[in-house]
Amino acid sequence: MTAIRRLDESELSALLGNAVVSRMTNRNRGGKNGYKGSRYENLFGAHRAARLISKWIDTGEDALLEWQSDEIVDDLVVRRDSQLSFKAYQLKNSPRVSWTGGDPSIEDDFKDQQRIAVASGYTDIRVRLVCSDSQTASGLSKAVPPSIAGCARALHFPYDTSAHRLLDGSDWLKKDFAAVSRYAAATAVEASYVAVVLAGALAELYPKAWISEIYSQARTMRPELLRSTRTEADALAQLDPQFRDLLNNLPGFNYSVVRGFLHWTASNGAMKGVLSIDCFNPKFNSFQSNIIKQNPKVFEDIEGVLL
Amino acid sequence: MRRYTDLAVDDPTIPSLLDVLSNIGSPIEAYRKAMKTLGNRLADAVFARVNHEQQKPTFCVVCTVEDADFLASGLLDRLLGLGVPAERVKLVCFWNERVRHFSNTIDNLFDIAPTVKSYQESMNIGESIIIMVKSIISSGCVVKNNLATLIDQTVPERILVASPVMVEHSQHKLEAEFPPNVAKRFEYVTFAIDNEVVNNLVVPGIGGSVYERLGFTDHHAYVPEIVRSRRAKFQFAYAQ
Repeated sequence: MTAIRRLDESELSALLGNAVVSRMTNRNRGGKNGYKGSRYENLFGAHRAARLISKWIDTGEDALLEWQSDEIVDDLVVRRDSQLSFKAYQLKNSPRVSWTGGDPSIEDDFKDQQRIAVASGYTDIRVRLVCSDSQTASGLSKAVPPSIAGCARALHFPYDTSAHRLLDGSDWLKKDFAAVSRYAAATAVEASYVAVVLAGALAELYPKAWISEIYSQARTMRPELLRSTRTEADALAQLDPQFRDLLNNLPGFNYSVVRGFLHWTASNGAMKGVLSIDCFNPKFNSFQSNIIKQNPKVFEDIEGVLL
Repeated sequence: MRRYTDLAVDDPTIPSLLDVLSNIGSPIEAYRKAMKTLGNRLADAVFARVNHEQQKPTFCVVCTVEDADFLASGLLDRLLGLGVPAERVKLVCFWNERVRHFSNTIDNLFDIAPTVKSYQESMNIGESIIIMVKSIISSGCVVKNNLATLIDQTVPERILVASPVMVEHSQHKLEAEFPPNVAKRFEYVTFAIDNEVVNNLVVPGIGGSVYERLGFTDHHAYVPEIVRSRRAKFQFAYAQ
């Protein structure tokens, strides 16, 4: 039984005062007129989703993602209510950012956000200021105001107008997106497609969704870009023994099952590809049946259907 | 509105060949033949850009499945005809899925061309001149995918983008997808620049969808003759 509860307007007023609640209401109303997140927000959201999908696949631990949420720190919120965990992100795609400038300042917002999270019942509370400028992020992370030092950090998340160029220049970002791709070692462009389809799924599911729902939505939009959630052994078990025998006997043809997909090479590695459906897709059975019926003797007999 | 480049102005046969493409009444065979001849002309222009006294480069011709037997084949054949040794002419062919704009978004961030499969001959990419050949360059999305896939972790000496027709500013879109050390290596070989796009089709462009104009019913299932013949020829070499 979760101990988390969302505060209503009167509780928020009692906690923070009417002025803060009025500001929250106005801000949220403005943000609700259709989701048109910036590219920076889209890519950051997609990246959070990728990391959380990896975690969900590995541990089964789901999380609720909200973008443009009702909170004060509202660009992205991750809730794991069952673990009393709350994480909120404020994004700044500009080099001019400070903890204390402005009215309210980021420090004020983070302080109020922490109070709301505590009053809601969360115990693991993390509030993050995310900057596209690495020097700015570095400076801010060394100067977190004492009033929010317990929960706040500043992070760097790079920005580029091109998802491919962004990932090409950032190994850790590429690795995080590649972890949920259908390739064991995705290139930057393949990893960028994971980012793209996750950003697309977030736009479809606005304003909030479970990580498992985001994964499903992305797979519905493009079944071939994200890995399967099932194990390699499970995937291999989907292969009909007769189908395996036929493939094993094709001269120069090799295959493996990676992240749920059938990867193949032929002509001594000159030809290569990955099926666009995973081994758990009902269409995969039809594909296997057709190959068995066809009884191929050489790669050329089946290359037209390796799609 | 079309603007011819100097290459087309200097060779009066080129505008006529481009007219065959843009004329929607051109039969499939005429269209295919024009593409192949334009491939020859692109090869002439590419060849002229290389100092053959100083360089002995490997030419790596990179194409998509629909262009392989026509534009790319014309380019590759002509390179061989100009005396480039066969062992210094390589072919890479991609089969791409084309995905434009997911619903609820209008951003070209969501314009992608994942690889379905590929054919790639053995080569040292870092020491090659890459020739990205494509019937038309518009968003640059397919060229981006195929080039990025090919040169991941490696930067070739030169990257020539060779296409009969390019859409105005398409080179900027393409370059914006690569880091500066790669983008600065791009060179363009083209005959015409068009600046009108209606319903995702360039006008006059290449007269609509290249798949339809070349007579493809299922380009994903199609295996180009040039791929069949070259891989059969190189089978022995790969096996060594």
